[in-house]
Formats: sequence, structure tokens, C-alpha cells
Amino acid sequence: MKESAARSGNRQGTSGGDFKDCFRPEDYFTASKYFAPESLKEAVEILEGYGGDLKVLAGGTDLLVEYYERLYEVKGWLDLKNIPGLKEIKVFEDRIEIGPLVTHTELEKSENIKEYYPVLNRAAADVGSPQIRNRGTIGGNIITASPAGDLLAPLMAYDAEFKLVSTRGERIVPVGQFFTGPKRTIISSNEILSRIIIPLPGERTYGSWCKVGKRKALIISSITLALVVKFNKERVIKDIRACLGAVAPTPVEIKEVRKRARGKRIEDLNFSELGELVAERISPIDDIRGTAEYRRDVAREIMINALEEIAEKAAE
Amino acid sequence: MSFNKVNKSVKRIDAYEKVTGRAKYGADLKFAGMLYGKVLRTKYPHARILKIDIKKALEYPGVEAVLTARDVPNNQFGVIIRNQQVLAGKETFYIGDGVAVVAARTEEAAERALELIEVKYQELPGIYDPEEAMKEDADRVHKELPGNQVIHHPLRKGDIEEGFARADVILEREYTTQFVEHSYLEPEVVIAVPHEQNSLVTIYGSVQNPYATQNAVASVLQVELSRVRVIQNHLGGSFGGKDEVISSMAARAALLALKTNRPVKMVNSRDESILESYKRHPYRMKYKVGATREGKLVAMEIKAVADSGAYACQTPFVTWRSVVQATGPYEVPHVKTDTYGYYTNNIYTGAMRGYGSPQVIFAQESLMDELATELGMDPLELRLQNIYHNNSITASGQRLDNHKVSLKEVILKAVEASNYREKYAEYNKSQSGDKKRGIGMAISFRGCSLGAEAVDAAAAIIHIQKDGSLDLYSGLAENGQGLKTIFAQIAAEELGIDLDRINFMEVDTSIIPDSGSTVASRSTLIGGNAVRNAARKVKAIIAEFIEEEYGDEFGFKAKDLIFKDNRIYVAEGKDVGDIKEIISFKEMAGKAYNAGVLLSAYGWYKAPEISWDEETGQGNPYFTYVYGCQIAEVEVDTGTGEIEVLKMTAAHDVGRAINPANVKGQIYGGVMMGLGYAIMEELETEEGYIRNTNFDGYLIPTVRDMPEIIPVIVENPDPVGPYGAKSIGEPTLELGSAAIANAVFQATGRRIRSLPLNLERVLIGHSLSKGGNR
Ligand SMILES: Cc1cc2nc3c(=O)[nH]c(=O)nc-3n(C[C@H](O)[C@H](O)[C@H](O)COP(=O)(O)OP(=O)(O)OC[C@H]3O[C@@H](n4cnc5c(N)ncnc54)[C@H](O)[C@@H]3O)c2cc1C
Repeated sequence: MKESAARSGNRQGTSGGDFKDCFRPEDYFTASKYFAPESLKEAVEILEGYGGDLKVLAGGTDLLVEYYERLYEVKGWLDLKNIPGLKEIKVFEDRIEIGPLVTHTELEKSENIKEYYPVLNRAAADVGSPQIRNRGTIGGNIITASPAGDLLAPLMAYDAEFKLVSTRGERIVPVGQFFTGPKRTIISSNEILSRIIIPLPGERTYGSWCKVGKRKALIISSITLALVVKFNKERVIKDIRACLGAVAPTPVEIKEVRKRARGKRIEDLNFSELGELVAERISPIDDIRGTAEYRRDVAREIMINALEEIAEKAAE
Repeated sequence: MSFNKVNKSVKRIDAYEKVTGRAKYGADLKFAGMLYGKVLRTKYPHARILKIDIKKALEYPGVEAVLTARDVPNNQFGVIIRNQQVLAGKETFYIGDGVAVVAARTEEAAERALELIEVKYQELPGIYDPEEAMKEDADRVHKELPGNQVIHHPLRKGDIEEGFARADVILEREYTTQFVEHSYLEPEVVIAVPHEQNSLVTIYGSVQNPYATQNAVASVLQVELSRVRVIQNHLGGSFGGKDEVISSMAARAALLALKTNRPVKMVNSRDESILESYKRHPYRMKYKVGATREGKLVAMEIKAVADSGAYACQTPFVTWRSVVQATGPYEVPHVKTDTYGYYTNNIYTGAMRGYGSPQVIFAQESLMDELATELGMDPLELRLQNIYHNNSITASGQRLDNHKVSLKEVILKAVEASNYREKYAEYNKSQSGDKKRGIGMAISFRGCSLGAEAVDAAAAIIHIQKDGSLDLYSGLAENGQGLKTIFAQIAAEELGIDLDRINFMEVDTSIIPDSGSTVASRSTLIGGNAVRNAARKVKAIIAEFIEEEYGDEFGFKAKDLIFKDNRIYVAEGKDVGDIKEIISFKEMAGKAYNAGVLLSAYGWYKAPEISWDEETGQGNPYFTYVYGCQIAEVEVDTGTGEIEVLKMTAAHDVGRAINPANVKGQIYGGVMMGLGYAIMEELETEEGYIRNTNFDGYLIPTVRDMPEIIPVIVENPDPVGPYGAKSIGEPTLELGSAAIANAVFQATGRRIRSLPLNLERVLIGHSLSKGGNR
């Protein structure tokens, strides 16, 4: 009985007036356990208590696909929606803190994100469709850890850190150590991602974003590139991060780019050589979204384009 | 000619119920005591079934029946060649073959029961490429047949050797196209109700062709046609796709319903739908063309091979349309065409909007541009030098003399609306940066309706109630294309009444005569004439009755009456347009009823004669044709291979637009389907398995991929069509792929001869993904 009630929520919809006004998880998940605690403390305690049996629920756009027609397999749900503060974007002197429940639409609309992290802002605008952007969250995107997750390369390029909490306390993990494989991270089943912390980029930082996919919307990326370059007053490159998605098991930074470009002016760089470098260092596979050969070719091209774009912006 | 109801963009008569959700689709229906049916499908594309054990499944709580091939009275059905299995008996031929069906009280129990059916297979090697299938020593897909060939259509005109001897330039090219899914919004649904109102079984659901389904179910059950009643529901799209797959589903549901004596509902999930339903035929085409230095075509030789998959389905007819259209709308004195279909163990292929034309048009219209390049000519001028005019002789030897051949007009209108000449010149100059633009065109002629495929006739019933309201039945079915509105407009035009007086009934095979299938863009042309015929019959009855009642008093004859604005008038006075009312339509209906006059009529229309010689491919295969030209403007990112289609101009001669808004709707939709076919859609198969069985992997265009679309409606009334109307549904999607490929060539210099023109093909010239390895 338990199964059937959960499954009926997953059946093909009928047309017309049979739909509820809006999606209310509690209506759907009546058969399994459903929690919507009002504090983070309570949330981690519930999580601890069920020892990994609960699914943490944010927007549900990944979870409901993952469990399509198998919702009954989920033992219980921990919905984060009532926890205060998780939907905020807060600006501090040296950093911005983004709550995990901030949606793609909010990242797309936020003036602060636009100003400080334009690459993240544009990546969010390229996610899925309006419906998916309205529900899908930055936290869900990070924890899902798809190699093609659109926000991951930008977060890497901006040096983000993730705050994880459990009943035992908190830890802060830099983005570079967080992803361990396709859909795998170091988060444990009793932890909740509570904050995404990104240092403020400072003046003379420029970014470029590129997503290539087989159509213009609702598309899992074939390849993404987030390039962020910081210049000093003398227009010398202080730091440069070339991060790519969908070209390796996890989002990757091509660190050699940093080694080669730091301390130089952008006009003194050989763009084709850097493009070639990126193409060489990635480890793409053949899959339905693109072949390895294609991805290498494109990685080179979009790297060159991104450098050109930044050179232009920096010259203004 | 001026009209009151036709040639007007009236609102669709089924719009309100659809947008409010009042319209009931198959999946909405529920019946008392209804069971849920589910299908167990094969594990392997090609396998011998050694044993099926249903015992455990039958014992599962809630399960009412489990059936296998043994329970099917006649296990083979088909519209042309009967060799499709309702359920696989000894052998499975493709990955969507059903092995057993279950009916249970809940969907969950039905699904659980599927897991409990034990099937022992012996996996067999299969044939997954028609090139393999055609080899002399190839294994046979169907052992009882002499070989793997489904069909061979030859066409011979003139002397091909002599033709090529006269050519200054000869080009040989090979083109290929892919499997494509119809992607209707609504997956297949059928409900079979046993013993309803004296029928043995009644079928409801998303049925494209009620008669084809009725025929299949009756033949499977081995009962008379009148015992099987099919009632169509609102359809969430079909595009040619809800024919054999629905017939098979209906037969399975009917068997379960009769076994359990309860209604049985079957609903496919999207994955099941993509896995089981037939697809558009992939083609491999070899073209050889000869032309003079001045660009006059002298000879064309074509070999086209279609993958029929596991069953014959509609391959014989799909490939037949290819034969007629293969040379395109060009005068070619010497032609040799051979079109083949072969069985493989791939998913079977059948009807899909376009029906054998999109493939050959992609090849032949790409070829025209390749020839233009070779000759150093403008592709437009090359086309204009060779196109059909009135009295041209087609490849099949038909003289085009019974309607206006408007190709030149259509092309020039598209050229003007797209600003083709200027853009072509501009994009020919060198372009800086990664993004390059190009413009390209494709043209076609298309035979309307079935042609020499089958009997081409249709019925309609008009039934006037005693208050003057009207029920309209048609034997052709609303598939979402707007048929109800068009037919209502025609009835309203003839009888001079408003559309809201007309109640359009769903197709019911027990009421209205078999009118063939709703296919081949034939409804407006054939069905429209049937409706007009019915309306004119009732109108004559009414006129006679009015003359009897009032003729003497007012001094008029039946033929003088004017039906307009829900009233009946006579002309009066000298000025044109001066009329006097005799009676309102409503009042007339009441009076006629009381006088015992029958105010109902059957309408019937049979298409003009056609002819075809199977040996030579000569004859008059269609009684009329439509002409189209589409022009694509694209921007290609040469760094990533991304194509943005910026603008599509689509000019189509429709004879007469009964409803211009609907015609535009067909153009917008067809152009988008053509765009998907051109640049992204591909069902990827690997040794008979399907890699993308849902819309995350099978990509269709989104609204963001939609270009600016400029529809240009050209009207040259046809002598045969109702008010001169012909066809629009299919011509709209057959042109896009070649136009886009030609535009991509202008932009990048890269000629792509395989569909789709996906990122990889555009960037590196070939696709490396496993499914698209060509
Ligand atoms: C049609 C469609 C299109 C899509 N298009 C794109 C696209 O273009 N680009 C892209 O990157 N993604 C895309 N996605 C994937 C998805 O929408 C995004 O990854 C989204 O950001 C996920 O967020 P969510 O809030 O919906 O996650 P959920 O489904 O709620 O959760 C995802 C995972 O994260 C865990 N989780 C969520 N929040 C927390 C937290 N605070 N702490 C611990 N664990 C947590 C959940 O337990 C789950 O395992 C698409 C999805 C669909 C269905």
C-alpha cells in the first residue's frame, strides 16, 4: 500500500482540472516519511537519526528524475524549505555567502551576483528552462555533482568554498577538493550543505562563460568553460582560472594555464597555444552528448574565444 | 469568388475544450471495473523464445489474465503485408516486440506480474543494416519469405546511357538519413470495452486511423467488422505515428478485455512509446546526375535503400512516394530509379509526416546545390532552368496539364520574401570571425492524397436537427491538424449557417463508412469534398422543400435560393446583392420536420482516376500536385559546430486556404519538425537496441531553437479540390533539411550528406557517436 500511494504520484498526468494548483511535496510523499524542519539544527538531528535513509530535498529537479517511477524506493524525505536563511544571498566585506536553496532564477536576477560573479550569473541563466530554473537550486546542482552541472565550473573559477554541517559540527571544504567523481563528492550522508562561500573578486576581474549543447534550451552541456582573469593595476595577470565542465569525471581546472599566464599581460599570451593546452589536458569521453574528439576540438576553440573576449573587456 | 465561411481564419472549433482541459483524451477515460494492461517486451532484438512460464504472474494478487501468442486467434496483421505479430510467438524480430500481456486490477500489480513472467530466450545474431540484408547469402529476417527484400520499385524513362553520354558534367553522391521518432506529446493509449452496446468489443483511445484499427482488431480476433467498433478520442498529436502501433495495442487490449470480460486500459510511458512505436525510415541514397555545361539536366540515376526494420508495415507505399518524387520537380529526359525496402532486426519503420519524401528531397535538393557549385552557377538559376511548368512531363511520364503548375511563382515569392538574392551575394563574400552566415533553398512538388496506393474515397454525414442545429460526421479523423474546423467551415459555407450551429462528432466506425486513413495530406481535399457533397445534397432537399412551400407565393425556383446568415433568401430587384428573406434556417428545419422531410445526407467523394505501371514506374500516379519552396538562413559557429537557424521562409501553393490561420499553423509546425530532422533529431540504434528512449536523449527543438518563420501562402485553386483547396500538412516539413544543409554549405564550405547536421558533423565532418557512425 505504501508503495502504491507513492507511485500514484508519479503516474502520467491527466489533462485538465485534475491538477493541484501547485506542487506540494507533502501531498506527494504521504506514504513515506516526510520532514520539513524549521532549523538547521533540527534538520541535522533528523538526518543523523535516520542514518542515511533520508533524501535531502531542495528543488527536487534532480531527485524526481533520478527516482522517476521508483519514488517508492525513497524511505523518507528531509525538505529544507522551512529552514530560515538558506534562501539568502548575503554580501560581506570580503565574500558573498549564498544559501543552498537559492534558485538559478535568483542567481540570474541578483544584482550582486551579476556584478561580482557574472560567469556564475550567466551559467545560471543557461540552466534548463524557466521551470527548472525556478525550482532548481545551487545546492542541488553542487550535491548532484554531475560532470555537466552548469554551475560547477564557474564556482571553481571563483574559488568557492562549501560549508557542510552535521550534528558533529561544521567543516569548510574548498571546491577543488569537493568533487571526487561523476555524481560523487566528499559530503557524507549525515551532512547538509549550508552555505556556498565565494571571496569577493576585487577590481579588474573579468570573466567569460561558454556553454555548448545540442540545442538552445533544456540541454545538458556537451562542454562548458568558465574563465576568470584578475589583473593588477599594471594590467598584468595576477590570477587566471580556466575551468571546464563535461570534459572529465568532475569539473576541472586546467592549472597549467595559470602557470603559463600568470605575470604576463594578456596581449603577450599565445591564445592558440593556451587553447591547445586546454584541449590536451582534458579527459573527455564519448557519450550521447558528444564525442571525445569533438570535445577536444571545441575546448580549444572556446578557450581562444574566451581569451579574446576578456582581452577586449580588459582593454575597455 | 467571395466566400462567407471558407477562406477565412475562423477560430478552431475545438480550441475552447482543449485549452480549458474539458477535452477528454484516451488517458482520461475510466470505465467501471476497468483493468490495466501492460506488455512484457523482449530482452533481445532477435531471439528464439524457448519457453514462457506465466504461472507465477497469474498467481500474483490482482492479476486477472496473462496472455501470450498462443492466445491470439490470428497473430499476424498489417495494412499492406500482414506480417506484424501481435505478440511474439517463436521468435522476436525487434527490441519492441511484445512477448506477453497482463491485465490486473492496478497498474502496480500489472507491472509486478511482468517481472514474474519467466521467459527463456536463445539470443540470435541479427541483421542491423539493410546493406547486409541485401547480400545474397544474408540470413533471412523472416524465414518463411524468399529473401529480405520488402519491395523494389523500378522507374525507367528514356535511355539512361544516352542521357549520360550527352552530359558535360556528371556528379555522383551518396546521402543518408536517420531514424526519427514522431514525438507526439501524448503517448499511445487504448481502452478496450467488451460487449458494450452489442459490439463484441469497443476501442477508445488515441487512434489516428479508426478503420485501420478496426480492420486489424477484427482480423486478429477473426470476427466480422461490425462486431468491432472504434471510437476516436481527442488526439495529442500523431504525425502518422498512431497507426500500426495502436492497432497492435488495440488488439492486445481487446484480447485481454474478452478474456476477463472487463474493460482494459493500456497506456504507454514515453520510454515504452519510443521503444515500441515505428519510426521514420532511414535511407541510403546514391544519386548520379548529368547536366550540360549550360545547366540543363539530361539524366538522373538513383538507387535508394530504405530500412524497413522487422516488419513490412508501410514500407511498400512509403518507398513508392519516394519514387515519384525522387528526381524533384525537374524536367529530366532520362531517368532510372530503383527504390528498395529491406527487412532488418531494427525497429520497424512506417508512416510519418512526409512519408518517403523528406529523405529523397534532402538528397536531391542537396545535389542540385552541389551541381550548381560544380557548374559555377547560382543554385536559384540552376533550379529555374529545370523546373516543371504547365505541360512538363514528370519522371513517371505524367503530363502536368490539369492544374496550374505554380512552381516558378512559389519560388519567386519565397525569394522575394526572404531577400534571397541580396543575402546570397552578401554571404558569398568572405566573412570574418567564427560565426558565418549562409542562405539556402529547397523546392518540391508533391502528389496530393494517396495516389496509386489505394482506393481514395471518403464519407461525411450531415444531420440537421429540427431546430436547425447540425451534427457533422466525417470518416476522416481529427489528428490535431484542424480537420474539424475545416469541415465545419465547408458545411457552413454551403448551408449559409454559423459555425456554432455545427456539432462535430468523433469518428465512430459503426456510424460512418470506411473512408480510408487520415494520411497523405488528403483530408481537406478528399474529405472536404465529401462534406461539400453531403451539404449540397441536404441543401437541394431544403431548396426543393422551400420552393414547394413558398415558390408560388413569391415566384421563385429552388435554384434561385440563397443560403446566407442562417437564413434563406431570393434575389430581388435589379441590383446585385438585393435579396429578400424567405425564411430563417431554424424555422425551415422545424417546418421540414413537420412536413416529414428527411434533412440528413450521406456525402461521398471518390478521387479522379490515376494509373501506375509497377514494372516501369510510368503512369499518372497522382491526380494533382502542390508546390513548395523553403529558404533557410543560418549562422554557424565554426568553432563549436553550433547551427542557429535564423529565418525560414516557407512558400506553399495550397490551392485555396480554407483557413489561412490553420495553414500558417501547419507551416510553423512543419518547419519546426523539418528543423529538428535537419539538425538534431536522431534515434540512435546499436545492434537493434535503442540508446535514447526518452526526451533527455532524443532531442527535439525547443521554442528557443525556433527561427523567425515567414509563411507565404500561394493560392491557385485546383479544379478538383473543394473551393480549389489541395494540401499543406506534409509539404511543410519535407524541405527544411536540404534548405538548411545548403545554407550551412554556403556558410562553411562544408557539404554534409548525412542527417542530422549535428555539432560533430558540422565541426569535424563526421559523427563519431556509436549510433551515428557514418
Ligand atoms: C529538465 C531538466 C533540465 C535540466 N537542465 C539542467 C542544466 O541545463 N544544467 C544543469 O546544471 N542542471 C540541469 N538540470 C539538473 C538540475 O535541475 C540542477 O542540477 C539543479 O540545480 C538541482 O537542484 P535541485 O534543488 O532541484 O536539487 P534536488 O533534486 O532537490 O537535489 C539534488 C541532490 O542534491 C541533494 N541536496 C540538495 N540540497 C542539498 C543540501 N543543501 N545539502 C545536502 N544535499 C542536498 C539532494 O539530496 C539530491 O541528492 C536539469 C534538470 C531537469 C529535470
